[in-house]
Amino acid sequence: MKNLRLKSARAALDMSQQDLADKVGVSRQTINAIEKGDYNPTINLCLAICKTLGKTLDELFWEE
Amino acid sequence: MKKKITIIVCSILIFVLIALGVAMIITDTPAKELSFTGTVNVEDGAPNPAGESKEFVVEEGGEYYWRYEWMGEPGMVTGMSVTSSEGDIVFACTAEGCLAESVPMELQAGTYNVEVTYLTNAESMNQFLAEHGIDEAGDDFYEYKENGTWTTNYSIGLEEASDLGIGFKVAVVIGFAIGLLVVAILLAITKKGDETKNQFDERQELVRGRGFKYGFFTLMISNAVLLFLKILEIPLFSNMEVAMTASIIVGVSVFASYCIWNDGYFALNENRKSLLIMFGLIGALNLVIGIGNIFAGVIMENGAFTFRSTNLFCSLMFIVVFIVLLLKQIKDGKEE
Repeated sequence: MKNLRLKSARAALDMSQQDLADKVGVSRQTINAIEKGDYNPTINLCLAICKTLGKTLDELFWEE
Repeated sequence: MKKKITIIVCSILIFVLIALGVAMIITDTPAKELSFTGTVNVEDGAPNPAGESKEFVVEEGGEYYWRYEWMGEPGMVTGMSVTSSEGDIVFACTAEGCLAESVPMELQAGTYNVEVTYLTNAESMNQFLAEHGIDEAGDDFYEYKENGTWTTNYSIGLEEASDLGIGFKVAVVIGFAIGLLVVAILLAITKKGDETKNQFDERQELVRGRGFKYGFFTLMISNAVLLFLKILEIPLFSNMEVAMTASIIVGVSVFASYCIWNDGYFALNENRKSLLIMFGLIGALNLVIGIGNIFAGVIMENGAFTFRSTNLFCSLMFIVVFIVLLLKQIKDGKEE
C-alpha cells in the first residue's frame, strides 16, 4: 500500500527523496520503496524519518 | 586514516609479491629440454620417414615428470614415446597437437630414447597403442590425411616432480599481486570519505541477503549437476577446473544481477561512476585476453574448454552485469 502521507509530509518541507535519504542515512531507492509501499521499514528507520519530518509515528505510519 | 592504512598495506604486499616473483625467476633451475622439428611426407597413407628418434640424457636420478608439447598442422597425428636404455617404456601418448604433462615418475640417470612415430592411418595408430600399452588414443577427433607434407615442432622437457613449474608459480604470484592492486585501486577511487567498509542501509542488507541466497543456491545446484555428470561419465563442456570456475561465475552473476535489479548493489558510500569504469576496464581486459586466446587457438582442446577460457567467461559475467545495469537504468527512467 502506498504511503502518501510520507510523500506529502516530505513535499511539504520541500525535500526531495534524496534529501530525506541523506538525512536518515539510507539510499534514495529505499525512501522510494517506502513511499511506494514496496518496503516496510524497521521501527528505527520509521523513527528517524518521523524526527526528520517533524511528525509522529501515527501521523506517518499508522493505518487508518 | 583507515583507507590510507589499507592502501599502504596493499602496496607493501604487492611489492613483496613482485619481489618474490622476480626471486623465483632468478633462482629457478631451467628444466632440461629437447626441441626438434619433424617433417614428414605422406603418400597414399604411407609416411616418409616413419618417425624420428632422439637421445635424452638424464644426468641425475630422481622423481620427475615429462612436459611435452607439439603443435603441428592439422591432419598429422603423432605418437610419442620415451624408452629407457633397457628398453622399458617410460611413457607414451598420441595426439594431433599436445601441451601436457605426465604423472610424476622415478627415473634413473642415463640415456633415454625419445621416439616420434607418424601415425597416418587407423592400423598404424592401433599398432602404436598396442605396442606401447595405451588403452585409449589421446583424443577421438583424428582425421587421417592420406597425402601431403607436414612439419611439426616438438618439445619435450623434464621437470623435478616437487617443482610445480616456474611459470605456474610466477603466474599465481602475479595473479595475487594484480588482485591486491585492484582492491587498492577500488578503495582509492570508489569509496567516498575515509571509510573502507561498504555502508548499506537496512533494505539493501535485506536485498543482499536474498541475493547471496540465490547466488549460493545457483552455485550449489550447478555443482550438483557437475557432480552428477561426472559420476555418470557424461562428457562435460570443459575439464572440472573450468566447470567449477564457470559455476562460481554464474553464482556471482546471479547475486550481482539480483542486487542491481533491487537497488542493493551499490553502497551508500560508493562512487558508482568510478566503480562502473573500473568494472568496464576489468571486463574489457578479460575480453581482450579471451579473444586473444581464441585466436591463439588455446581456448579449446579436444573439443572441451581449457582453463584459458576462464577470461572469456569472466568477461561474459561483466557483460551480463552491464546489461542488467542498463535495463535497470531504463526501468528507473520509465518509472520517474
